Amino acid sequence: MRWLFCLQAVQLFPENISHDLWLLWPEIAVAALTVVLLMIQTALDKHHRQWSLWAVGVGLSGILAALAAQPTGETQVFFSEMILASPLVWQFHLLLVSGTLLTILLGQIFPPKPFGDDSKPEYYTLLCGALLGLLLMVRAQNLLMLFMALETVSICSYGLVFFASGKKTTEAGVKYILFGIFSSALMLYGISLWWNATGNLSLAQVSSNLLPVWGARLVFLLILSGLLFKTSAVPFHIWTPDVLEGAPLPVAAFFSVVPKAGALAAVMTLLTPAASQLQVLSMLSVLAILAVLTLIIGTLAAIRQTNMRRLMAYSAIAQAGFILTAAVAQAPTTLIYYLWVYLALNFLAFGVMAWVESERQSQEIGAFAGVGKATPTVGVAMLVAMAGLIGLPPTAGFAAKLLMFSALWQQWQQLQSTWLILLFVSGLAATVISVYFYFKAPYQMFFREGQLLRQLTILQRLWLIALSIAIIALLVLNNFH
Amino acid sequence: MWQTLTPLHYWILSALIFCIGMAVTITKRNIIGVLMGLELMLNAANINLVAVWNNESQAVEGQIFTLFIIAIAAAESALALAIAYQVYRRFGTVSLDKISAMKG
Repeated sequence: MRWLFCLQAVQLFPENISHDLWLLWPEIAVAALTVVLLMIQTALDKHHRQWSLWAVGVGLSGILAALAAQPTGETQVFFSEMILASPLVWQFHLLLVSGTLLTILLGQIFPPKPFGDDSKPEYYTLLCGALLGLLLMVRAQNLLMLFMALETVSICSYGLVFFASGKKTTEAGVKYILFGIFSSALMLYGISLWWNATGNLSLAQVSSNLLPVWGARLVFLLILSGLLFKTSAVPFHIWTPDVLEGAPLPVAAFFSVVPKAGALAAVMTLLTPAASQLQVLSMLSVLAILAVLTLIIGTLAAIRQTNMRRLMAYSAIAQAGFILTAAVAQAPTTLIYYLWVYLALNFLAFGVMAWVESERQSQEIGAFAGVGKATPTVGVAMLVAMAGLIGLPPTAGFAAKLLMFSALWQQWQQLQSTWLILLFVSGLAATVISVYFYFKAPYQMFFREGQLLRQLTILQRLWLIALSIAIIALLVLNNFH
Repeated sequence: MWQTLTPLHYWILSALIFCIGMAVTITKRNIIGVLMGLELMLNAANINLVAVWNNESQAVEGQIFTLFIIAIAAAESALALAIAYQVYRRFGTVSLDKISAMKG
């Protein structure tokens, strides 16, 4: 009876609002899940808190299944041009929900040490809050909506760092939040300038622009800064190594991929009106320069790392350069494919790292010594992950890089900008150099001696094998879009 | 020029406050000081957003945006102060120079 009443209440609204609400169902479902998790945390005592795992697992799997079963639908802008629904948005949603689910599984299958059942409900709540922000971020068509979504992600992320203990975590957390507020303040100032210049916050409709070219570039860069922070691109990459080293491992895996997907979708949205208002070529060259710098700095800094977490952090920066390249090429399908592959690769690598970290109590690359000989599954999984991150043929990483470079080439033929060629060349150079540092850990695993380790549990073995197969299989499925 | 307030005056004021905030953020070594600078930067944007409300469009999005920003800034500083407290408990100081457990 109560359900019927609710349905009638929905009917009381003007028709388009109830229609719009249906289009917003993934966000509503995730918000409801967040509230449920918050309730579990306050209502249940310590002994029943494992219910939160069931709630978040069932909830997110349900949302993922419903998303996968949903027809992609047509492109439309709703809620007074605030929010977009399109096949592309649907693909991003699938990616984001899967990424969050993988994060939860990673934390469950490879449990990090200071991570008791006590704090789990809070952890899941913040993770779902971040997911909610990301889901909104990929479909925001208005700068207010975009900023609110970004802040939802940020505020939840600041909390997520603190689920480990120790000085490193605290340092990582304080750097993350100060740097995060700084970049969102820059973004906000950019938005306020945009508002003054155009009298309009919408990204969906073209409005008059009173800015000269250099002013438009400045506004674009300022608005971009908040998104670059989430992408961990130069010059907003400084937090990445510290946070990825200090945060709990599943959270580090989450930060290295999932917020990037949301931010890149927002960058693509930003480029659409920029194409009409802010001279597409000059904006793309700004983005191309940033991508070049990100690639160079990420790759060169990764070379001299001895800590595996920091190596993966600089790898995440270099990969952010590649992902930005896909945005420069304005190839959304390639971007999605690259992100799927990168998600699988990174979660495979972080699984191996989690296992080695808990076995050897060290984050150093030296801790990987002999692991590949003692437990071949782990060794092969790491080899697959690293080969994929470089972009070597038997893995999907190869297809992802190939698609991205060819998209960039096409874009160059269209625009004939020197910056795009520079980006192309530095992308190739970064790929070649990355062979050296990505193979550091597999080298230790197979060519160094180390004492025998504990056996993998069945779930851990399943995780490694499933993701390795997924990485090979994605190569075949590369034309699924 | 000085008889009435035009949007230009607001823009100059907000740019000034933004620059002061940025300078404070970059130069201060104390977490609380950095937060004060960040707050100035956020509020510079607020001034810009409310400055042009009565231009031809009559749109109120700017003011609404400002309300949102005030709420967000409060949430962020609450979190940042909690973190600053954590830092003080672990390191015995809130100076950013002395917080360095990691290198590379």
